[in-house]
Amino acid sequence: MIRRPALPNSGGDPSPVIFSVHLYRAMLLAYPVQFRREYGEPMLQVFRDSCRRAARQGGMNGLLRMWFWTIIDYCKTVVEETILGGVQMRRDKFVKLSGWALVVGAVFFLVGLLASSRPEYNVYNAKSLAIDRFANQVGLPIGAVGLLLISLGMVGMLVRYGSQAGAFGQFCLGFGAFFGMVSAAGALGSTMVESEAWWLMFFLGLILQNLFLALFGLVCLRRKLLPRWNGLPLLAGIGLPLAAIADTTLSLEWLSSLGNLILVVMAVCLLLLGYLVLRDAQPAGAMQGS
Amino acid sequence: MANTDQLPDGLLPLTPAVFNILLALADGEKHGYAIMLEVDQNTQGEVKMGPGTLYGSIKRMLAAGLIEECDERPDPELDDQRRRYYQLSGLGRQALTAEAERLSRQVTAARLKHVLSFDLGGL
Repeated sequence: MIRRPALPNSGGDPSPVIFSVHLYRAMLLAYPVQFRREYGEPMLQVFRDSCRRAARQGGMNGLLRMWFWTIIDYCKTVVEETILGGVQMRRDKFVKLSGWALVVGAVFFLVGLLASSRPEYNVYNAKSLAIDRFANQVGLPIGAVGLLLISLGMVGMLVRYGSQAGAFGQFCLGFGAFFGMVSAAGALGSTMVESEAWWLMFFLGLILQNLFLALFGLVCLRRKLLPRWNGLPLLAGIGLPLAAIADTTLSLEWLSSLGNLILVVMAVCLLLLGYLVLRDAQPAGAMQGS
Repeated sequence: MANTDQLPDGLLPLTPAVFNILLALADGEKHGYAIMLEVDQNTQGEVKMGPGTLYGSIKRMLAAGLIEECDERPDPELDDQRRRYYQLSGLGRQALTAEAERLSRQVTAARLKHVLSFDLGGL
C-alpha cells in the first residue's frame, strides 16, 4: 500500500488553491510508484507554494496560467519518469543477469574444458573410463554454452561500464563479446561436422575474445572502472593470446604447455569478475532526460 | 579554467534544467521551491520549471552525485520541517564551472562574429 502524499498545510488558502492542490495530488498517481513515494510530497508542497504565489500575484488568471504550464510539465515528466524508470530497471536487471552469466559461463567453460581434456574413450582399452565416453561428447557443447554466457557477460559489462570506459573500452568489450559468439558457434559446429574450418573458428574466436578482454583490462587499470580488483580482466584475458603467440611464433613450448593452467586462471578470473559485476549492477547515476 | 578530466564522460553539456538548478545552488543550500523561484528569476521566466521537471532533475542529479541532500535543517520555527534542502557537491561545482566556461566561450565566439544585438561590456 503506497502512502498518498500528505496535503500541505492549507489553512487560509482561497478555495481555488485548495482545489488545485487536491487535483494535483490526485494527478500525482500517474507517476511511477517509486518516484511518487520519494518525491510526491515535496512536489505537492512546491505546487502549493506556486499556486499561492500565482493566486496572490495574478488572481484567477494567474492560477490558470500556472495550471497551463503545470499540465505541460506534468505530461512531459510523467512520460519521462515512466520510460526512464522502466529503462533503468531493465538495465539494472540486465547487468545483474550478465554478472550471473559470467559466473555460470566461467563454470561451464571450466567443466567443458575438463571434459574435453579427458582422453578419448576406447572400448578395447581396459584403462579407458566409461565416463570418458560421456565427457568426450559433452565437453565442447558445454564449453560453447560457457562461451556464449561469457559473451553475454561482456555485453552486460559494456552496458554497465561503457560510458566510463570510453570509445576504446567499448570497442574492446563489443568485439570481445562478438568473437566469443563466433568461438561458441565454431565449437558447436565442430561437434556436428568434422571440419578444420569449425576448429579454426573456435580457436581464433577464443583467442580474439581473450585479447579484447585483456585490452579492456588495460582500460580498467587506467581508469579504475571496477570497484576493486581492476587487474582481473587483464589477468583473465592475457594468458591465452600469449600462449598462442608463444606457440606459433616464438616456439616457447614451456609457455604453451601451460595451456590448461592458463584456461583455469581465465575461468577463475571470469568467475570473480562476474561476482564483481553482480555486486556493482547499480550504476553511479544516469543523467538522461533532465 | 575548470578541470574537466575528473568529470564523468557524457556529463557535459548540461541540460538547461540541470545547469539552472546547479546555478541556483551555487550560493548555498536551498529547498525545491526556492530553487524554482531562483531559476525563474535568473532566466527572466524563460525556463519554466514545474514540480515534475524540478524533482525529476533533482533525482537524477542526486544519483549522479552533482548535488547532495542536506542533513541539517534550518530552525523549525523559521521553516517547514518537511522541506528538503539540497546543496552542490564538489562534482556539481566542477560541472557548473565547466559548463559556465563552455557557454562563455560560445558567447565570446558569437560576439567576435558580431551576431549579438547588445553589448556584453567586459567580455
